[in-house]
Amino acid sequence: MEALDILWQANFWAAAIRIATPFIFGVLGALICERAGVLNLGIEGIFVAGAVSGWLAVYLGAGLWTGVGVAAMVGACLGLMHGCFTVVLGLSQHVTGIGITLFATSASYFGYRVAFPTVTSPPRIEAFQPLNLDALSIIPVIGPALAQQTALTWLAFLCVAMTGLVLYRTPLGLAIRAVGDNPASVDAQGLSVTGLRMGALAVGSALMAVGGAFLTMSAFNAFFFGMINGRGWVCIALTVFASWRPGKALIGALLFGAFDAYQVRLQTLAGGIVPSQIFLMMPFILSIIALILVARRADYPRALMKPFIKGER
Amino acid sequence: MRASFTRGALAATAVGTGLITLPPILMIPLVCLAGAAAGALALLGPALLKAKLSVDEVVTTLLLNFIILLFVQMMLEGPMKDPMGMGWPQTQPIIDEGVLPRLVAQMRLHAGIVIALVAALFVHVLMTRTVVGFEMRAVGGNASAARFSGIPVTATLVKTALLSGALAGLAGVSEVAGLKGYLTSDLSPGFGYSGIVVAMLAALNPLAVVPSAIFIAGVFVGADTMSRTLGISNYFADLVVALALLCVLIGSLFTRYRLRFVRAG
Repeated sequence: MEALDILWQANFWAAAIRIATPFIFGVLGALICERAGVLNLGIEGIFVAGAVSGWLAVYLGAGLWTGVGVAAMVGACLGLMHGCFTVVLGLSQHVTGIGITLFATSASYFGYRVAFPTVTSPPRIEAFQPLNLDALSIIPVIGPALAQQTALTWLAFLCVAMTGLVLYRTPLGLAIRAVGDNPASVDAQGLSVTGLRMGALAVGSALMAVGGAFLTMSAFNAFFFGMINGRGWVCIALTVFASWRPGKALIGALLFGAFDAYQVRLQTLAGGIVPSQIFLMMPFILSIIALILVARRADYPRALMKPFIKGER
Repeated sequence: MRASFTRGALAATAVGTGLITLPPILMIPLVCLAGAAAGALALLGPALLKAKLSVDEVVTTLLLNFIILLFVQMMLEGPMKDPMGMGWPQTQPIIDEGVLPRLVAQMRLHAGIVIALVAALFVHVLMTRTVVGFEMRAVGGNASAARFSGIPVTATLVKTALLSGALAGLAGVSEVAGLKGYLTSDLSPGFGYSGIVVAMLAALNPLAVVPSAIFIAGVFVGADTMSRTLGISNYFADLVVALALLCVLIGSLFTRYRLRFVRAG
């Protein structure tokens, strides 16, 4: 059974983790925003903006980690922009999100075209290299797979732990969770609902942008138009699937990465009998199935998509 | 009203490119009917998921968008590929009886505009003068209030989605049967999103959609000309449209609130 042998290859799991990394960042970002009560559909555009800006910074001579920082800053700015619309002004989160996505995507594409008007093959950078942690290789299958990852993947794992820690073990986390469930009670405590939500949006969007930067600075070393290709929307579905918990988000993203890596390998096994588009559809079909599976018991943050305007009933 | 209409615009997102997965068909009404039916069908899934399981319809349509696009590509490279297309993934041209006639000789203006104007008028009458339209507005305004007053909310949601899907399908028909004559996979992928912008720009008023759509079309055509003559990237149009959407959003605030300047202290 060739199809099952795949599961024992370290290379397969390395690919799975690599595919999962941007999703880990994205789902964490979406999770933080939604825990604070804001659905951030700007995610797709923020991914693009992070991918372009981080890569461009490195291309213009900045260090790799500076590039990640630039991407995070751009993401945070877009998140704050989203917040100005949805939190401060209380406008529709659906429409604002789509608007931010359109804006960030077109601005990034336009900026890229202005920077490189007539390139045929995309310019490249020296991307993050695998860390080659040989010590890990003693663990079977998973060890070598982890050893091949770049620093950004480890940053993703670290962010999962940090997010979990902050959300569930600190007063700040309690306030963020409360502001997504019952903003009036947070307001009554004397905390600023606007401040908390804006902060969550900035941090969450920064994480999304780093997820985008992973694609251009670690998975690949160049930017291509359309390279984000719906990853942001998949993150939104995965967030529901993970029931807004960082640990489950990690598992969900890894599962998703494994599925994706698996179907690519099946595709080569299937050898052109099944149209390639069927395989390309799988991530989106899986996302919709994931949404349907958890629909009945999905425990949405109570105040998700409900703007809070102080003093208004 | 906003909810149902935004949904209508989002329908276009999902369907904007997918709707015309049909073989080149015989006559204009049939082409239109088929396109509308395909559009409606594409939105049936998200509508039912929303109504039965309260899955966010925006997210499902955004995901569905990619599935439909890939499905179209599959059809274009497989069963519907034009054997005379020199290997390009495109369908055979729509036969002459199915092509929307041109209105003015020597110009590309075609009967699609008539269909579009009739559709705008139809939606206006439907929304303001019929029971169904009233129910749609009621559900969009406040779903629980509508439910208490005995309006079948689920059925209304599904009806609205089917209608908007059908209209988005017609948009695709007009592109293929009126302008291009055959279907390729790069058929205006941005059209669905522009639908949202047009609807918002028109303040969700069906009649105002007409000038608003012409404005957006002007931006796109103008950007094409700019790109040809000055070499400015086409993405500029998308940027302008995105900014227009964000500005209209802020503007919508002033329909609900009034600014009042008071002297400090």
